[in-house]
This record gives sequence, structure tokens and C-alpha cells, in this order.
Amino acid sequence: MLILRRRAGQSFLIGSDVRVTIMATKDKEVQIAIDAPKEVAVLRSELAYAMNANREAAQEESLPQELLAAFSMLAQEPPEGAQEKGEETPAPQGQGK
Amino acid sequence: MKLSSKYFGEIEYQEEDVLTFPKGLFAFEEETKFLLLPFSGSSGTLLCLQSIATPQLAFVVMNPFSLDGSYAPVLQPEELEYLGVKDSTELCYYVLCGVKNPVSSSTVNLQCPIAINDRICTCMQVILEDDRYSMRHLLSEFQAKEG
Repeated sequence: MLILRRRAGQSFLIGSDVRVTIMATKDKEVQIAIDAPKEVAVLRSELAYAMNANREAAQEESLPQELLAAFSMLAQEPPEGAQEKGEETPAPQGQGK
Repeated sequence: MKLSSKYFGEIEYQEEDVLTFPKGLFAFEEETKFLLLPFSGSSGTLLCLQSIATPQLAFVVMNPFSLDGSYAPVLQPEELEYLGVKDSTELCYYVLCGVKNPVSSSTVNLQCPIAINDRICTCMQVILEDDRYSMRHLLSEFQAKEG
């Protein structure tokens, strides 16, 4: 992995058409400007990870009901505070068929 | 109104039960309307977040507080504003589960909860900036604490 040292106002290039400029640094944060062609996707890493996690979660590999048998805490009453909040949430009855 | 659901067959629902995600969920930005349907036998800890537009799209979600009583999500000011509240504790939270085979290796995403303002049925999925929470906690982590 390449590690560069740059100051505010300095920049570097990735390939010939992506330019990354360090705008400012403050405490633990760095403000960065990215100049890239429209077809180059720029995503915060954690957003890309969150999208992958959701795609994975949308594909169940087992029946969700099996979780109840495998994990006893799911079949129990949640702690008081959580229960209270849960009740406020609109929860339509779906156990029908 | 009627809807065919992934796990419960055809179900009847009311407009006021619909949860609106104006921005969708991560990677599912076009899915903005869901129902929260509890699985029976779970005391409301295991639920299904069923898409209204796509019958085959349903996420298995859990009440995070039933896993970890000390779970304390803190949202960014702009997220709180978006949901119309002043404090993170005014919201309800659910977390997405990755149901695996074997089921004992299933995971839960404590870093990206769904936050719900139940007064206005408006929701958003957020990414927490808290090192304690990751996107794939093994469910078995929490069972050990139950004893």
C-alpha cells in the first residue's frame, strides 16, 4: 500500500483523470475534494460495506423461524425499556397463514 | 389493503401501518414502503421487514435491545433532524439479520440500524460511528451473555 504525506492545499492524481485534493484538516477530520469523471463512482467505504451487508441480508440461507429454536434470547421477553418502545411501533398482525 | 408477503402469504394491512423510508435502504434505494410483521413465538423480538412493492423482498430484523440491553445508537444531528426528533432515544430501532446456513452462524448488523419515528411512521437506515458496533456480529455472541 502506498502511503503519502500531503498538506492542506496539496493534491495527488490517481491514474490520469482522478485528482484528490486535501482541502483542510481539523482535529480528527480531513476535508477532501475529489475531481473525477462522471463514470467513476465515489463512495464512502462504509456505505459500500453497508450496501453489501444489506444485499447479503436480503438472501436468507435458512428459514428465519429456525432462529427462534437456535437462539433462546429471541424467544424471551426483551428488557423493559425495549419492550415499551416496541409496543409503540406499528406492528400489523402478520402471523395469518 | 392486501399484499402478498414472503413469509406470511397474503396479508391484510392498513395504510397507517406502512413505514416510509423516503431514502430506501442501502442498496435498495427504490424500496420506500415496508411493513413490520412479527414472527409468532418471538415476543416481538424477531420480525420481518416486508417490502410493499416487492413481495419477495423481506428482511429479517430483530429488536437490538433483546440482544444487548446496553445497545445505545447515537445518530448524527442531520439524521435526527431528518427524522424530526431532537434525541436518538426518541426513536425505535431494529437491526437486520443475516440468516445463514447453518442458522447458528447467523449475524446481525448493529452498525446499520433502522431508526423509526413511530409518531410519523418515517424511517431511515443509518451507519453508526461507534467502534463497538459492526455490520456482522455473530448472534451467538449475545447468547453467551444470556447464560
